[in-house]
Amino acid sequence: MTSSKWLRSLLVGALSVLASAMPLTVSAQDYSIGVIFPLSGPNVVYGETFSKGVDLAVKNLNESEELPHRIKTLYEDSRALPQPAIIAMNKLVNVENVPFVISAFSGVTKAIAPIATRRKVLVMNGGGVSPELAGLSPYLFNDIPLVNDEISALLPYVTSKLHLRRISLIYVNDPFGQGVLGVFSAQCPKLGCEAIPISISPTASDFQAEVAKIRSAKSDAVFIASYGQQQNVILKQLRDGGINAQLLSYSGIDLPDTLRLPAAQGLIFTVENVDLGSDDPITKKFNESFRAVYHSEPSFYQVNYYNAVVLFAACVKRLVAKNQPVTGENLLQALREIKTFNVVGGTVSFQPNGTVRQAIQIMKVVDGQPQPLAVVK
Amino acid sequence: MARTAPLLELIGLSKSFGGVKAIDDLSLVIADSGVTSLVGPNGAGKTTLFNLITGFLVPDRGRIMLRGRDITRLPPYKVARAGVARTFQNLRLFPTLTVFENVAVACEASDITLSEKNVSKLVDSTLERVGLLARRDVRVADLSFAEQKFVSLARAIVRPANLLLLDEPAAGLDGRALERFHQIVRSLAAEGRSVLLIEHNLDTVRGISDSVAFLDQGRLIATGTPGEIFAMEELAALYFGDDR
Amino acid sequence: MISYLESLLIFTALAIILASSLNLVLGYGGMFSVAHAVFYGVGAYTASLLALHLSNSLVLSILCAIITGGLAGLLLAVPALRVKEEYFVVASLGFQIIASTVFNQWDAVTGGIGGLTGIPPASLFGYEIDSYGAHLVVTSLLAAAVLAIVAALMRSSFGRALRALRDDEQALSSLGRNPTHLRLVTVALSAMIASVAGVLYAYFTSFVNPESFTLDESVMMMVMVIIGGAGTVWGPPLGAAFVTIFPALLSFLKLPSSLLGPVQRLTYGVIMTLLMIYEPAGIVGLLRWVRRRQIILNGINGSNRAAA
Ligand SMILES: Nc1ncnc2c1ncn2[C@@H]1O[C@H](COP(=O)(O)OP(=O)(O)OP(=O)(O)O)[C@@H](O)[C@H]1O
Ligand SMILES: [Mg+2]
Repeated sequence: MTSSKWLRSLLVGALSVLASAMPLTVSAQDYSIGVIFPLSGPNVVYGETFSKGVDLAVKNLNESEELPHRIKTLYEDSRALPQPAIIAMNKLVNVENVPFVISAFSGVTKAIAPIATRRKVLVMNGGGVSPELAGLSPYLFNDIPLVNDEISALLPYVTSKLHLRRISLIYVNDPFGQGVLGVFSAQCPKLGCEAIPISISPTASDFQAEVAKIRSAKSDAVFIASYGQQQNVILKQLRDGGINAQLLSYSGIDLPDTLRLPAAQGLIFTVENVDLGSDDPITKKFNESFRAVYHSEPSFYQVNYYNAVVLFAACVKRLVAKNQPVTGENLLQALREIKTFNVVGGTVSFQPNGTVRQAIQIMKVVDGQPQPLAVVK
Repeated sequence: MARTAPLLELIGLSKSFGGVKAIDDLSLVIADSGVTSLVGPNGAGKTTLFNLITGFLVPDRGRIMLRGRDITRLPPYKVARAGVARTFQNLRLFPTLTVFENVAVACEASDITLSEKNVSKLVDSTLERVGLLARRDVRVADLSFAEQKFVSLARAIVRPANLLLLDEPAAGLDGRALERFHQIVRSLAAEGRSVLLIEHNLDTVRGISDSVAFLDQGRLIATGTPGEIFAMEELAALYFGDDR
Repeated sequence: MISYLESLLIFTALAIILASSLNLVLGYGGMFSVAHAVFYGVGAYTASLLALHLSNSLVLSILCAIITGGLAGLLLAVPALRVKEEYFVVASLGFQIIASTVFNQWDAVTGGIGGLTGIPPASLFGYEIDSYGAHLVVTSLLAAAVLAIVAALMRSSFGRALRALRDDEQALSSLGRNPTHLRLVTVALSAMIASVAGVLYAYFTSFVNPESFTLDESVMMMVMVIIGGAGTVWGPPLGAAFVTIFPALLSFLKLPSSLLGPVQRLTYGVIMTLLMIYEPAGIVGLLRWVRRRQIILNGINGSNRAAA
């Protein structure tokens, strides 16, 4: 009896706290955009990081009053899982009637893509890099280069300019790593190079066996397709194991701590050609406001998510000029017509399969710092 | 007439728990029908013997033959299917099931092909026999102790098992209930079933047994008719422990 | 709005099928299984592969999924039931982990972590199940059928034996029933039903990947059964509805993004913990308690009146 009374009062209390936290209702005039991020669960840290990019862009655009109405974000929690994402997407599309949704994570993006197609809602993915995202839906765009594009830029350069022929490929056995392997398998025969694939588990931390394989393969270069802390471990163990071949990698290795490692010196890798030092007004505004608001340096993902909102605003501006309503269909039309967008770090356009087309920069680590070698358009 | 193997034959059975010899080199033959009472002081090994026969325990030594078939190492459910039914000293009913369901489970356990209707008929007639038809749909946990004892009995007799092992089924019964119990056991014997009964009440033993086996410290001390056994004074001494 | 509700109800119906089927094992069979999502996944992958390569017939998909799901159930139960019953939960944990690895790594069949995309809509008697409405009708009907089957099963001799098994396994075996066999059948049956939910899931989302069939999902299914009331016909579906709909309701409070996650988790956790501490019989137990109290109160009022 007392327990149920306690339970009831606790419930009432909890609900009233929740209710009082409800913000004012959305004005019908606002441009509502949906955001599906993990806001709980083990991947919540990504949701928090990504939303900084989105929130800052919305704040800046609303303050600039470039658009006739304010942009209003509606966040939904995906827990980085398909089922909650589908419920969230249905809510955004069918209850809130948003024309535009920002998503993260490959699984989530794949799960909501069919709804985007069906309900003609534009989805902008800024986080998932699975190669299968390309061409999944006419309404799905990836404003993050899928890993294929980076490798496609790197391989011709290292084979023709550096004459590296036998390339050992250490890749994590997951969609990302398999994507990398796929590009190697497709391109090496054409370029006259040979890939020696060596798969590793995403959780592996001892690479003695792999190092031995590489040594006996006598390769000219070793490409590392991994991420996070594991990259550092691989670098160290390769060097400790006496491998002196040219090391290659992709943008995921572009972390200051990693590049400072002795083992990383001479490493060649690719990055999205984002020039945060550029003095175009969009990049400048981003740099200034990011530091002012968050007191930290922006990450690659935060640039992407900031740009997702910038892309939306550019499409809206065009629709306003043409006096057309902001619907998913019209946004798609506008995006296809505008073709090239001015965003933070330069300009972007999209390939027919919905993936961003961005110049790739090839970098070499010298004295712990990345030095540009070449830009591949 | 060709010689057929006895219903139950125990050959040199032994079972110890740690240092305790619960059953010690015990041999016994149980006849095809009639009531055999197993008597002996507390801790004599009577329940252990039931557990050995029904497959809940595996003997350290010896064999158990049912109609000439070795059932020594069969699991309990196979022993049950071979035609041995038992009750438990502490009843072990299914408390969340109704009276009907308890008995129905017993009915279906060895023969899942029985139709719902046949099960119903069989269970109801058994409940009538033990006087519980009126309590048919009551949850067993809500029954009185005497009623529970009769559910346990009904569960054992509902199937056409030839050998019934009843572990102190009359303990705690008195008056009309005890009378009904006597009558049921006698009628089971009259049907041609063989009943092995663990019983402490010597009046009951005298009243319903065809033969008596006396157990002490895991050993079979004596077998005989009730008259013969009760005539042996040394057994009474063992049983009541009065002059030791 | 309608489509949103439809999607929510479809997932609720799927959860009801999953919780009800797990209830057979957990609530009635007394076996703690944390591998139920595996069977859900096996059904989903079976339907996806069929639809992508052979046929999108719903009936055929369900039949095949029942077979593969049942086999997966046996794959868990046969070795798991050899060891002591108390270790079933450990065995099921191992099974879940192995199955997750297979879903993740068997690229040629499951598509690995990337999963399978572009699953076409199912067809049923020549109609294509494409709209949310059609999905909802099919899913609800099957959920209702599952509830009816579970209820009928529990009233049948099988259900009686299963409840007897939970009450006293040794007594049941003394009556001639093989407890291991009974458990085996229960796990297989439960897996078959769960795999049907997987089929419906695959056709509804048209995308399956291992993330939907993880240990976490298995645990959530267990939570549904337990907070609803294990071993009752209506408890698990109530628990399933609660676990599916409650977070959706919370999301309507339009909290700022930084608050949404923590608040949702906290409220959810607190309610579940309270339920589990104060009403172990789950939501159904709570409802029964309210009803009992009403009867008692009515009784008291009645006697007061009589005294006056
Ligand atoms: N599972 C067991 N583990 C250890 N010791 C046991 C076990 N079962 C019985 N015993 C011991 O074996 C001996 C015989 O016990 P049993 O229960 O067979 O006696 P009983 O003749 O049925 O006695 P009662 O008349 O009290 O029921 C006792 O000393 C008892 O403590
Ligand atoms: Mg005893």
